[in-house]
Amino acid sequence: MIWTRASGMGRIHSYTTVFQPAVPTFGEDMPMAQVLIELDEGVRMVGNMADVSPEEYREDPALLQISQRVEAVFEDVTPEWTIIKWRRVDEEPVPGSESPADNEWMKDPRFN
Amino acid sequence: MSFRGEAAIIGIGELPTRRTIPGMSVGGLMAQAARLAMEDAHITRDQIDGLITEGGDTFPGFAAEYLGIRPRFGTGSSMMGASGATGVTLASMAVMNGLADYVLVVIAQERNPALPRGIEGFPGPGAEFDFPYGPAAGANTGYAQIYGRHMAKYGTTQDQLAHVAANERANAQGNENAVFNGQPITHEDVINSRYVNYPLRLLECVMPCAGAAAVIVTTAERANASLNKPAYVLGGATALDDFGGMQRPDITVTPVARSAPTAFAMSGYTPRDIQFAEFYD
Repeated sequence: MIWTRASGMGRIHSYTTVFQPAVPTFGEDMPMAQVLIELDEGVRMVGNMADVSPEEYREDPALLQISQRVEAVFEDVTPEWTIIKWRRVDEEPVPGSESPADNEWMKDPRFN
Repeated sequence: MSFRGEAAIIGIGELPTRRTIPGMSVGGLMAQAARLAMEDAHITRDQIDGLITEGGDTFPGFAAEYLGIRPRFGTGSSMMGASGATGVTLASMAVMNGLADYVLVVIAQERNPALPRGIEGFPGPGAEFDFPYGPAAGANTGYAQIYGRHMAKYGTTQDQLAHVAANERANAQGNENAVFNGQPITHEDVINSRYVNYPLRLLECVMPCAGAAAVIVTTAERANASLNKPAYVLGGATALDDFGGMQRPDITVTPVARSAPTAFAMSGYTPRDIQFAEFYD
């Protein structure tokens, strides 16, 4: 296995909305989007969006769509720790690919 | 190579699966299930000359010591949810090749809800690039990604998939060892349960449990002399790809799409012939 430089470009392959955190650290961001990104090189990475906050996502889940074009950004959490996140870039969605659902759940009173 | 006509299960032992079994160590759970299986098979502990466990905390050496046996063949099956089926596959290979005459396959899981859950200890790219962003953020997130992709690809609906959980729960009502025996749910209950990770709801999620199960595998020849009606092993196979599952060519297709055809080919049967199936959910 060797390191290969990737372009940092990819697409949303799938996503989920996490309601229940596995560790308390993420608790105040719930519910939040977790995306599965397929890089142009074919590798997939799980991650979070840098340009869609949990608040914005709760307001408008349609901000994320399967096949949405994204690029990698790097966020310095601390001086020692840097994590990779994803940012939407403009491009028409690939014809025929659709979001997994209509996000009707956002209208569910249990989440409002 | 085929197992057909070569190996058979002649005894089983199963403890009731529970959310937790207080006061029982994993060794104790293994021993109880092993005893039940040996009693069912009408064999003694001294006849066990092969041992297969899941591995990890229950590696074969630990289990042999705890059970007080000295098998001449032993290994861990170490395939997580597929460890049981893999254990029977390995046991069949062992007996048909003369490595052992009676193989005990025993898998146990203890669970103390008071202890924190962790995902440390798995090395590799997944630990660096997947776990901190995915499994560490929420429970069952990988399955939610697959679910969402399946909906986008096939038009699968949440209403359709809720039937899976409801049907499994209905089956649990007929099995007194099932963790949810006595707790029936409806399709509507599944739909109305809260989200853990959209589109996955609480009643669709797997959860940690405690329990144990064991089988005795022997040669078909020895099985023919068994007091029990032998359950012949007709085929078995394994397949692997990436641990987290997110790098599969199609995340909606698991390695069972490759292992099942091998097992069916060994058996001489086809999926059409199957009248009873159990799935890892």
